[in-house]
Amino acid sequence: MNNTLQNVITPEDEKFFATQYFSMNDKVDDDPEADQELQSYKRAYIWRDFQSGYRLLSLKDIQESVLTSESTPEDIIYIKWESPFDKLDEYRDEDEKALRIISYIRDQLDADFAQQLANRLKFLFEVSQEENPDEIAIMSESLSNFVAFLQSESHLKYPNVVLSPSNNIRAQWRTAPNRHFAVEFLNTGDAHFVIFSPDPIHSEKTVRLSGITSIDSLMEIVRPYGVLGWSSR
Amino acid sequence: MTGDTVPTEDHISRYCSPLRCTEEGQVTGAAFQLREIDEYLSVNWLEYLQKANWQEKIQEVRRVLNSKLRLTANAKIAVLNVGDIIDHVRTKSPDHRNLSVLHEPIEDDPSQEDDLSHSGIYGFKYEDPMIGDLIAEVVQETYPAKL
Repeated sequence: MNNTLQNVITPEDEKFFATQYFSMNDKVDDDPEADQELQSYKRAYIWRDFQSGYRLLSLKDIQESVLTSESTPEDIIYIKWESPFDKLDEYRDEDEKALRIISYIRDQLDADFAQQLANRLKFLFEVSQEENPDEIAIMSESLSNFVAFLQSESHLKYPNVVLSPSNNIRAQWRTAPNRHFAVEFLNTGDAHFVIFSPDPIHSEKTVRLSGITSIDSLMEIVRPYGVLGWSSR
Repeated sequence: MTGDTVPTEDHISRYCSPLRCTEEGQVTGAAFQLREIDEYLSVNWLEYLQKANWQEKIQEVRRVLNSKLRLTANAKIAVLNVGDIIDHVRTKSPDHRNLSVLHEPIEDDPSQEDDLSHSGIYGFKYEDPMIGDLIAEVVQETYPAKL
């Protein structure tokens, strides 16, 4: 890493960034080895911020992070390193996971709508990438939770599937204004749900409720409101 | 002016990505949901636009959206009446939620083009997905966002 730094950051760059944020003349007194580490970390942080435009940490932060008895330079740089390329890798990983789940749906999901659903999700994935190329297209944990839900509730009909503004999967079973069941599958294993259903006693009235629950408990909670009447086969 | 209430007889439009529409092209409540970071739902106040007719107003909204967003095929502009939104949500939500629609013009912001009809629907949050579903029920018309 230091080689990289030395190749890319010129002494003039280093001087410029150092004067912007802290003095490169700061030293750790009476400990040449620690001082050498400190200087290498200064260069590492300068490089990180040079690439990304992030705020440089204060010298105090750097000293505190560097000068622990157990730390090695590689460990600390690894922990602190947050280049924009890491973010891109994270997005790419998420996107690859989502694509793998879509392939799984197409090839292995035991549902008669598996192909249709995989096509729909592929469409959503592609549009999401096109609209916001710098964001994760579909949150893979949300998608994974949705698939697990469909597998455990195999009696459900094919839902309308859209993405929420957070790029989570939102599935909707709606056949009328008073027969509406929508679920957003969160990354955490929870679900936001909305139900509009006929009042069990006064059928001309509509029960409207929403809430957040674990996906595992979702059907148990919503079943009394009759949602299976229009959402299951 | 910023913070002015948009009259209930007026109309607003909302950009609806195909990501928030069904396969049949129907706008869902997801188009009216907020992200955790949002304070309000962005819309455009159509009567504020000094245009001769409805088509020209929608065309102006398209122009502004196009300067801010990557519009994709099948994206829509949904038109809603302000009074319908407020009444429907107040009468149908379990807590009789009161929404308000306020003018939030964007002007002299170096990061984006002026958007003088920009407005916001206030009174709900990310945790209120039912509000989005109720608003979707009073969409009056939709137009293609991209011609």
